[in-house]
Amino acid sequence: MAENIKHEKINGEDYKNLIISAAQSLEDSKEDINDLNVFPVPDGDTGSNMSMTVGNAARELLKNENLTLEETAETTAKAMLRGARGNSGVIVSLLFRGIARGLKNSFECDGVAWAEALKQGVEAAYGAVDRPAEGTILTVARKCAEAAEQAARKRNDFEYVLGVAIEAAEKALDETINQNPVLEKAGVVDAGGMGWLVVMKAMHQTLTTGAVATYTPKVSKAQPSERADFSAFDTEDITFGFCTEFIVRKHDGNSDTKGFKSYLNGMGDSLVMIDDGEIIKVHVHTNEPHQVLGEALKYGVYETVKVENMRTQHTNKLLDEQENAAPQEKAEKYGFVSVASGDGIVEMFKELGTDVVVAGGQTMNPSCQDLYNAVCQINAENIFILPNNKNIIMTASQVSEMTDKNIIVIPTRSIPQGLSAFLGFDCEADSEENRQSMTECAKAVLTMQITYAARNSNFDGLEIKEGDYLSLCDDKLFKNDSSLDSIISALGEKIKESGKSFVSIYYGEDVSEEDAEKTLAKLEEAINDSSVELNLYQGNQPVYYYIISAE
Amino acid sequence: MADYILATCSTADISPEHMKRRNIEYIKFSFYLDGKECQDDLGQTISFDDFYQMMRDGVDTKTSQPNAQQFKDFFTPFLKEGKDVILLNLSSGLSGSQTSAKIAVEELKAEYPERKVYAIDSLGAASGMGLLVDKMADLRDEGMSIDDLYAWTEANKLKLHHWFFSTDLTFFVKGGRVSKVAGWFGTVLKICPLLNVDKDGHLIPREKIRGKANVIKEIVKKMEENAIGGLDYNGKCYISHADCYNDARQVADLVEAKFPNLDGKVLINSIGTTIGSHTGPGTVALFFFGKDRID
Repeated sequence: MAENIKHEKINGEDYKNLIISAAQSLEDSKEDINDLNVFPVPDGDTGSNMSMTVGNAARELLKNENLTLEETAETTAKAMLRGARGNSGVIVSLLFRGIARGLKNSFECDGVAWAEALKQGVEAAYGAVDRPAEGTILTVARKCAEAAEQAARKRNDFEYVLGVAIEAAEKALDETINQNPVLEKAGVVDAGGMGWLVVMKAMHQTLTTGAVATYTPKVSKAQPSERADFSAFDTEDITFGFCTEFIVRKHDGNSDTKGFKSYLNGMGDSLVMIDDGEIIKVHVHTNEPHQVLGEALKYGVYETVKVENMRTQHTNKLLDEQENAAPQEKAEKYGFVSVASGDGIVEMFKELGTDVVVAGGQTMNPSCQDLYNAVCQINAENIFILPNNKNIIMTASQVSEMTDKNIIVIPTRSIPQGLSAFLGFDCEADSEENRQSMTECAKAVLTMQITYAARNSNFDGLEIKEGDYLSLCDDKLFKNDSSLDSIISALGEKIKESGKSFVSIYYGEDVSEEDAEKTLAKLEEAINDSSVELNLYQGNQPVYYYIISAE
Repeated sequence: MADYILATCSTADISPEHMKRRNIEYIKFSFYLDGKECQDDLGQTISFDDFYQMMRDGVDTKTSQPNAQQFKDFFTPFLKEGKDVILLNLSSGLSGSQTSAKIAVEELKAEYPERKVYAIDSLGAASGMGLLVDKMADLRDEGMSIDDLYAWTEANKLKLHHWFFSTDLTFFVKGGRVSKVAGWFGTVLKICPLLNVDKDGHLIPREKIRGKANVIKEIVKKMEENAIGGLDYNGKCYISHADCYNDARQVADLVEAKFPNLDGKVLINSIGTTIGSHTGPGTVALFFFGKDRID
């Protein structure tokens, strides 16, 4: 049929349209995906994280016209890497990075090429995950790619291959229920896997209808206080810090500057490039003006050069805070980025030597770009990132792909782990020694957190009512109860068992000092051991009424 | 008994009675309270309690090592009496007093060619020097010659382990003894640094530990790991403290419980005014003989 012939192959503009439709579809279904989340703790939901990740690519693509397929795929992958939030967001960005690799040097993509691209996507994603678990987005994407490969052998047709891949994805998604005991109990499919299916389906549907996709993100409603925190750090409009403009008089009027344009596209955004044969005029926003200018010299000599730091205002503020760290000064050996929220806790991280604290945590996972921006603000050769939440560790691990600086992620899973990681830091030691000893110090801490149940749930044998006090011990659900006192007593027992002798209680923004004092007394009573030292700190963190650590 | 003078500095942080009983002479360092010079005479003129209270009250403290002339003046009377002298000096990694002592020794050797004068860089401090000089007194009393004692001390001084912790870093930083680096300023987080004296006699921060109870456990663990014979250690053990006897007592109780073969009870001394000017109140130090310090 004529319709089918039309979609045997896609080009750059088609791909752009498909990605934008995927972003919109994720945005429309994010609440449904979020609802698949069975963990009763309030957290950064899978659907929202995936939508923000893919949405970043849509925004970026909408700024560009007439890119080749290779350029479109590359732009998509880069934007997703920067926008990646949460583990599922990072995995989606990795899938698209592999796809971009598969589409390198291509102007068109047929069924065989698409199958190969999906396969590369899966390889990139699996390669970056330490212990890939079955019954997740990884499984769904893998089954999807395997089916695509078989289909492509039968018929080299993009639309056909995508259609078969979707069928396989649906089947794989249904199976996730049985692959993960937690999902099985809750009777739901994996949220990340669902997200991938949404992406594939949106692409297919847009292809068959031929509609021009648009992207209109909803105004976010949840977590007002967290988002308010974030606005201070919102540098979305200055993803690339230097407005770089120059005119180069070409060595050779006939020389081809296409390669230069795609180079520039890879170096930043807001690109305008005019090549009139004699001169090349360029306007680009980039983080590496020096590299851009160096590359330009291959084509000719400068007529004019202008570079402006668009972050100056932001930087000035930073300089005030750091007093004497001018960017031109010799780089420090070590710098620190910590992810935290709550002014009390942020202050502690600063006191311990954190250069930049990125706002974020359980309910608001910062993106790779947020962490990368923080890294850019630090003039140091080696930069430690302390994610302080298990959902941010993978995001942090991607930052090293974006910078030449040596990025060391200490996989801290909680605020107390992050604080104690500093105990292992030694400015004389090398970065590997520090990585080991900071990781060790982080692991030596027992973290307990008290929050509220975000939903009714039957989780891990615990029957949980929405609004219950909920306690976690090192990320695992520990006890829920409508009474705080009984939870505190149980935690006291747990501390006693651990034999640890230094207990810190960080109370959150919703807790008064008086109540915190009472909790301290209750905990002290439960531990009932005079050799255990207890300290109370005003953390002012959101979400968690109390974060308690024993070490 | 060998007929020579065994000497050390007032920084050895053992009591005047102890010095007298073991027949050890000492040269006094000076310290300044708000600019007023005082002699470090092991707490006899100004009690340690008063001294640390003044520090807490914000009185400015500075210390001053003896110069070459003061060392000469210290050695000369003994040499005049026809006695040889061996002196255990404060670590060259912490003070310039060994340089002054060596100048004095060279000049005195010329003036008293028939006499022997040794100044040994202890590469140690505080009751660590005290424990080492006490051991030297044993060897002297057993009849070891001054030349042999010199050789023995040079060969064994790095076996003396010094471990310190502090519950208040303010004075360490003020004295420039530790630099302001990441992780050190967790005063509000109750971070207690554990330090030791390295093979070059410098004070080195080794670990940071949250809470006093944890750091007390850790310092005793360091003794388990490093003492000669481990838990079977049968030498002496000294502890010194800057105005925190109870913390020192806790460490001593733990040591006495864990090391049944200890030579006598743990001796608890005060950290004196010279070392104390730099550590400030809140410091506890543990000293014992162990394997050679290698870093």
